[in-house]
Amino acid sequence: MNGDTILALKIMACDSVATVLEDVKPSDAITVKDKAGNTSALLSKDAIPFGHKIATCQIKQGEEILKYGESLGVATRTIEPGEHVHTQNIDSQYGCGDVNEGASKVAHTRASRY
Amino acid sequence: MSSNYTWYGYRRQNGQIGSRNIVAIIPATVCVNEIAQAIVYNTQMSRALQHHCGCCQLMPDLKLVTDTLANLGCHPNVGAALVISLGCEGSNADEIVARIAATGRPVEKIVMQELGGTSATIHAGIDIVQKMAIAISSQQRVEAGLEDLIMGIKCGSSDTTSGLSSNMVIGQMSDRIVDACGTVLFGETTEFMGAEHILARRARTPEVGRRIYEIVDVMEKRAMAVGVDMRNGQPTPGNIKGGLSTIEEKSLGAINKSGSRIIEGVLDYPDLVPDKGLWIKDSPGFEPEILTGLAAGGAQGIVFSTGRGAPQGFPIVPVLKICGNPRTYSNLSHDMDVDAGQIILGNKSIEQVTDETMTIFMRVLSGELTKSEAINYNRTMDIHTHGPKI
Repeated sequence: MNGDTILALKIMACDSVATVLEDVKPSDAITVKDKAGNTSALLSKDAIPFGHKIATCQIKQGEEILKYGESLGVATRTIEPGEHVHTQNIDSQYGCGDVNEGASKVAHTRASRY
Repeated sequence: MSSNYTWYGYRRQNGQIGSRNIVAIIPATVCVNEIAQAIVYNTQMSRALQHHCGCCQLMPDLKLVTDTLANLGCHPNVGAALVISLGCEGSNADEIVARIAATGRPVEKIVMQELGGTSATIHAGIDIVQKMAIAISSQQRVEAGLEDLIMGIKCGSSDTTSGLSSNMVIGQMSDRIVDACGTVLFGETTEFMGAEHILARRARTPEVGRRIYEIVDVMEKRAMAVGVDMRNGQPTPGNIKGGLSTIEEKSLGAINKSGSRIIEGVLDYPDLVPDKGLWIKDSPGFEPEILTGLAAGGAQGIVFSTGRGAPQGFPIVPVLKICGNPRTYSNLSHDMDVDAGQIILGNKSIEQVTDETMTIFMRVLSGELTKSEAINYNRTMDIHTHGPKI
């Protein structure tokens, strides 16, 4: 806790999400703290359960969502700061057996890692 | 690098040191599980390695089952073993017996179809295990160090706290053990998806790196062959409820368990760890199967990280549960051994909880019961095979 705000942990400076450490209601004040101890303020837009992710910046549709400095998948629509980031707006780039081979649900260059 | 950590275990003829002294009852096939369990109910120091394999499988899987059971019978925690054969199974009971005997352990085989049926075989098995239990029961523990240890690591029923706290603790334990010339074994190939590039960068050789990409690719193709999105199989509905949105997120948290040291190689599911250092066991995330893979590798103790609260134990290996979620710890304190939730609450550092967990782990290796052992969570295991049962 930081005063009457709710703490959210961000791991790397480049991450676009932070993990909330309490159940969050819409319009709750959030303090985002990173590993280096830097803090910033954020207003929640959604109800976000304990342990879930809040967007700390705008993430455009098709962009990778970063946590641990790595990609969790891509945004299926543009996500605003303070929004709950979860299965309703992220798509995995793995195990998508429901789409044709070679086709991805969203444009992505996962192969570039190999 | 030396370390101050010592533990006390049972020295075996081949130099291994066990954290437990168990008579392993090994059914060569699913059909004799009931016999194995009945013998355990009637004897001390015995555990059944029950599974659902050993017959009506294709040759590569039958060999895998034989290899896995043989390596479990040669586990450092096993003082003696009884192999139970139905008499017509597809796995090779004689090979299991021969490989256990080669380690110098007392081992015998009984065959249900030759002994006159289920009750006669239970009777014969009780007599044999009674004799074995008495024979091994006087063995004393000797001093051992981290260089004698293979630590198995696993996370299950994860949520977002696992990657932030309990897995970080296991990662530090892993680094400390590897630095002290010990051995660490991790698996869950499914939970490398999205993090395989990070693991591959830590591979000892380019070939090991390629193998890491390969096992992930094979695991993903098996999932995709079903023709649905893998989500809900992995991550599980519980993972998703706990805030893990994609397999990438689950994997990036899961690999924190492996610490930061070089990865020596990738082992097939039944394989024994061949040398010191950090190794990957190609295995699924499914608890009863990966714990078997870690045990077959020779892990004398398994440290198991959880966020939502996995209850697992294993028949012949103590499983120490470390919980990353403070809410879960207070709710399930009878299943959780270590409270790592203090880390995300800001009350303790990762280093502090690592120190505490190392100390507890040494005590457990020396004989202190884990929560799951003390309530007999010791019957659930299975073997990970690839083809169909037909």
